[in-house]
Amino acid sequence: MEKSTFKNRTKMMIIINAITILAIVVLFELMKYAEIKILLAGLEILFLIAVVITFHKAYWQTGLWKINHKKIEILDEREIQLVSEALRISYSVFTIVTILIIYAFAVIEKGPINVVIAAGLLYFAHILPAAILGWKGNY
Amino acid sequence: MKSRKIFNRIAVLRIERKMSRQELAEKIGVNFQTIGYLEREEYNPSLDLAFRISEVFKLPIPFIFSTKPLKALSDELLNKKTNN
Repeated sequence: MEKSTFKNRTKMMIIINAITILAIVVLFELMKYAEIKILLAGLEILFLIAVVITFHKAYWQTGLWKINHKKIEILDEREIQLVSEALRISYSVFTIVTILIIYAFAVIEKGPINVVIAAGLLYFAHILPAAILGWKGNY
Repeated sequence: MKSRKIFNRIAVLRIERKMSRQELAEKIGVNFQTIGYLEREEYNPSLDLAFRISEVFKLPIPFIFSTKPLKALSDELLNKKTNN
């Protein structure tokens, strides 16, 4: 596969992965009010499968997951530089996103965030450095 | 601080010594993809890495790396001969 096509495909998979995670969170929230819970639960399962497939294609097959989870002694100096930069950016992005979510929940008086949002945020925190590396395409 | 672009002769020297990127990478202890980035001058090596590269090629660092675009080896040889 050509390098640019490979990079574009990775970017596409990163976007789809993020959208499906967002869809799972939104659907879970909708399920509380909807009458056709089974249909939404089915959709949740479909999105979950999509998350697994896109995770495999965007982060596992490309080695993005590995580069971010390798011990620092195994990485060479260029990789250490890339991972450090990705971690620095993702730390800022994650902080802003989390603050916005907590603030939004406080404003609309919905109480504490639910378990699916918490799980989504944990997943987001874990994949964000890899997503940034994949987006830049210089890993 | 934005670093300057460092030009190098890694690709020419590697090919001249019939070495693959993987072989050179193993000798200097980096990922083979890093060799590609070095050869395309998209990554500036650290001083330690520059020393390791110069040790593999058995050449002084200023011969391999420069802050100015490097001339082709044939041109440098020709200049040397003309000057002599």
